[in-house]
Amino acid sequence: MCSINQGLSIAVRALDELPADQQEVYKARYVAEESRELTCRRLGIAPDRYDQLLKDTLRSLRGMVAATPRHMISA
Amino acid sequence: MPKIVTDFDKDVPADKFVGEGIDAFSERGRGLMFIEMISDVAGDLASPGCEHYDETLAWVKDPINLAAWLQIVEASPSVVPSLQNAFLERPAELKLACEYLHRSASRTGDGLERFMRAMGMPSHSSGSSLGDADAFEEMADVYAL
Repeated sequence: MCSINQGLSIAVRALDELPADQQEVYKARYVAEESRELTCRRLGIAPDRYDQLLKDTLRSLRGMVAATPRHMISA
Repeated sequence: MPKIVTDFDKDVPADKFVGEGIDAFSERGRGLMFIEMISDVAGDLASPGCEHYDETLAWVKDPINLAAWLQIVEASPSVVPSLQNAFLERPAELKLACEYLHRSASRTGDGLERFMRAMGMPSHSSGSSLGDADAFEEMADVYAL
């Protein structure tokens, strides 16, 4: 556990722990590297909704970093 | 919107930490995630009236948060070229983001410093490359830690 890179750990955890709608955008954008337009078409959502989900996702990631205990980071 | 938690002394189950699976992310994907993360933070901080300003400022003021995020870049040296390409595509946005974060993250060690040098950006100690220096002096006052 000591060797775990926290930043990467958060990135991987997000695949399972983000809310479902944010997870769809997260996977599409950062893992599949799918374009915004294609994701919108595939999920049947408006571009504005995509932008909002992306912003919510980034804020969720911030929260996941902040929720990690300090002693695990410095271990 | 998740609540920002600042209690770092609580225990978290070991199964909450993931050591595998990062291979799912391409270097470009990781780079893009990092860039958009700092851009999003910078966007909030550039708008003192926005509803997320206070919590974003609190997040940035904790150097552990930024240091953790920088590990995404540092985990793989070859992420940097991907970031450099992305930087060329959106130079103004990223320069602004990094300047904001660098001003507010003096205690994160030299991780962000190395990142900025890799991006070809001058460090804080060598002076700002931004034209609007007054705006950053003002932000530095806000971020006085």
